[in-house]
Amino acid sequence: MGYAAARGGTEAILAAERLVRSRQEGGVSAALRAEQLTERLSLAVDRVMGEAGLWAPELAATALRQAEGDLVEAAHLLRAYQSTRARLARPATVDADELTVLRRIVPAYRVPPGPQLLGRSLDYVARLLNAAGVSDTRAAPEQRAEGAGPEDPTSPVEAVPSEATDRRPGRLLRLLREQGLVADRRRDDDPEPYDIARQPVRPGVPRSARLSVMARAETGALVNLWYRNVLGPDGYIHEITLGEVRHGYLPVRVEHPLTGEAVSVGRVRVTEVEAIEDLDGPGERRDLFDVGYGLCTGHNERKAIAMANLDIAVERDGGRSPLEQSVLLTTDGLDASGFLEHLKLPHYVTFRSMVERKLAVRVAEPTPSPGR
Amino acid sequence: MTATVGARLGARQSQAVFRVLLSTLAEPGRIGRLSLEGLGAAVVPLSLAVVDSTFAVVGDDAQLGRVRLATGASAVSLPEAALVALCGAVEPESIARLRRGSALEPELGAKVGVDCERLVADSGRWSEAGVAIEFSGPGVAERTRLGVDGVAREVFVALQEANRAFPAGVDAWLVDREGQVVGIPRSSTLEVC
Amino acid sequence: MSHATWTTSVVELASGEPDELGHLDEQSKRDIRHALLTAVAVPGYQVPFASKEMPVARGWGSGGLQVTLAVVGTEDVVKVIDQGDDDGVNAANLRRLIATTTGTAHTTDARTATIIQTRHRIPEDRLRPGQILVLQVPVPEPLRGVERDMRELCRMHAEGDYARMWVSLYEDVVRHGVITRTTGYPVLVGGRYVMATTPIPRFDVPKLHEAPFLSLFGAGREKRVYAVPPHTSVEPLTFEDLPFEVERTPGAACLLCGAKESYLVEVPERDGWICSDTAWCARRRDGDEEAELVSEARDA
Repeated sequence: MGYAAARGGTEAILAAERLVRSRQEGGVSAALRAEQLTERLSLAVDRVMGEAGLWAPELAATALRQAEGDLVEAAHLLRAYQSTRARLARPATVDADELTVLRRIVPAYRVPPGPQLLGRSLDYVARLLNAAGVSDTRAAPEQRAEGAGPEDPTSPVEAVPSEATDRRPGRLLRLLREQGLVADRRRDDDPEPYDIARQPVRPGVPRSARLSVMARAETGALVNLWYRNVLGPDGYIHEITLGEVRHGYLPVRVEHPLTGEAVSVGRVRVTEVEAIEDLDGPGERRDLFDVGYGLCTGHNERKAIAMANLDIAVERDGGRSPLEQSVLLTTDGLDASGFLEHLKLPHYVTFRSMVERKLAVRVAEPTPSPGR
Repeated sequence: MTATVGARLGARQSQAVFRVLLSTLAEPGRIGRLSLEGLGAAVVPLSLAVVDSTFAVVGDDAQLGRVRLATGASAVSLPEAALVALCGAVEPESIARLRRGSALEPELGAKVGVDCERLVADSGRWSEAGVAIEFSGPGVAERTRLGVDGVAREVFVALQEANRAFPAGVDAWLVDREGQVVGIPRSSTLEVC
Repeated sequence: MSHATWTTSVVELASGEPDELGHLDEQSKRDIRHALLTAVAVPGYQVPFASKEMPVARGWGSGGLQVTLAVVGTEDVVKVIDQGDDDGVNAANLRRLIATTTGTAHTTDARTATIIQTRHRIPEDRLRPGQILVLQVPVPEPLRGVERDMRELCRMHAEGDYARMWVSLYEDVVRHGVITRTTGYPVLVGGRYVMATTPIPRFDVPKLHEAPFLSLFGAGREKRVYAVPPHTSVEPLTFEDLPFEVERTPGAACLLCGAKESYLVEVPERDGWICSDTAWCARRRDGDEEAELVSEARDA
């Protein structure tokens, strides 16, 4: 009989879990500390936070370690943990212009308003595997100062901090607006952003919903969706020009319960992209650009770029193609992986039903006479 | 078990109340009973509201304040409210103003608690009650009859009207002074005798 | 957020009342409960809800689990089955999760359970009034095969426009001589909504019609719940001259208990069949009269 019919399902699970733990806790190497992940594999930690849709570097490192490096599993651990947490408050809206940049580039202009700040990036580091590895000549952890942990354990070390550098540069978008080159999407009202954690999405939702979904979508899903729409058989969109690529900190503020004033309670590190779209479709204003937006927690540029491109693509598509539905409903890593892997569950009740129908079809006449 | 009227319902209490709301809505016309006393129509917003819910209380301003404090939800006008308590003597106009949702979004239809004096099951004495209602539709095994004291028959007529364009409509619970409850989902057909 | 609101939530948290009843915070449970009430009021309609991530993956019963956790109380007795089996790894895992976080009692006996969470089967025992069946749903949309666009699907349900479904069934008959739908057979609920019966076998579909118990359906990944109240019509979609067919293999009987009219699954290496409802089968083997009676009534 199969595993599902075996007696002792609980015993089987417990045995499987013992195997998992023995591997996690055993072996000859030193136990993995969370700070090793936040400091040495910060991009993995950032990606997990981005796909969980939250900011919590130490928790994300813990999740990544517990998931043995499986990024989707780690994101699941984080989101499930968040499900048990009550909401304390709603933070005040933050203007993206308050972003303090660690890195900021503007491909669209050679000399944009504000600095081009390469910052810390692996983009131009040659893809040469350092097979010899890195020798650790620093002081042992116990010898370092107590309580000297960084506020953001994943924060990159600054290359050449300069006092004169403008860390809150104005946007290229402002320049384009002054020149009347951009479709103006600013509104007078201030609609509540769609909360995807409270209300499931379906096509037709406001743009804030689409952005929220993509902000915590799986990186590979967005990259692949972008790629197949640019070069693949779907072919709906073309490439944008990047107006802004930023990596930096945004403040988090909430209303003080007694004074009612906004108080800062911390900051989150995000990647932000503005994508400039050349409007050239039928019925569009050929004399204008439009802008797509991408934002995610942690440092994850390919995700934010894909997001910005898909944002403007969905906007332009206006529901003509299934693109919006694909973006809204097929890019979540937990949904996709969970559903895929559920195929491993027993399906013998349904399979038996299918076999029965196959036999029934063989027995039946191919075309019954009408009015039988 | 008594709870201070308007006090926040804890986890266990909320769950117990919910089970009564669920079973009475699933079998319209059958009388259920709350284990908490003194809640009245406010049992609906008290047990279901969360911090960003919208609610309305008609006929009892003190109760409105208690619901707001207990749940943190926002008090809004009657036609905007997702969760409603109609307290004291209920007017048919209140029913008419309730949010009904639409065929595309039936979930927007309001959930309403309605105060009444007394609910009488179909055990021979139901016809002595102020208004006699006969239920049919989903959840009703055989035509179920119910006697209601303390609610004008026009209120039930208004309820029928509010639910005329099913699946839009409102879902109501009658709550009497003893904590007895009857559910009237929008799917029910009511015959007011 | 208003000052009063902030104060309420901070006070709430500071009061430290532990959430004794499960893996979900109170707000999430209330959201689900609100959706379940709408589902009961509009039988067969898929109500959107704020599905939370659970300790089980999406697609593995996270929806059913959320429904159970929102509904369950300390007096409940919970049975969890997968393919009809209490002891399969998936059922055991879910049961463990529910038990450790709610402290409720558990049973394998469908007669004494107050809540039965199930994947793909309805128990053989006749369920009674007051019991709640929670079904795990992978794909809640019955019209998925005939329409992909979500907005069009919403319109079809809103207007009760199921013409495309009927055409699809008719084409099936013309092509194959029978309706070839296997499990998750589409049904009309309360004469109004077409609903997916999750992947329960056709064999179990008639149990939903005018049932004495309440059925709640949870689709966590798709973020929808729906419900069938007791005493509600549930009619499989078929044509007047084509009776609804359930899975039946003439001559098959359970190798363990001898039952002919329960839902049987094949055991190829023993060239025979066994009951999928393992607890019911075990009771039959133990000479349980009630199980005998149910079986005889069906054999007749």
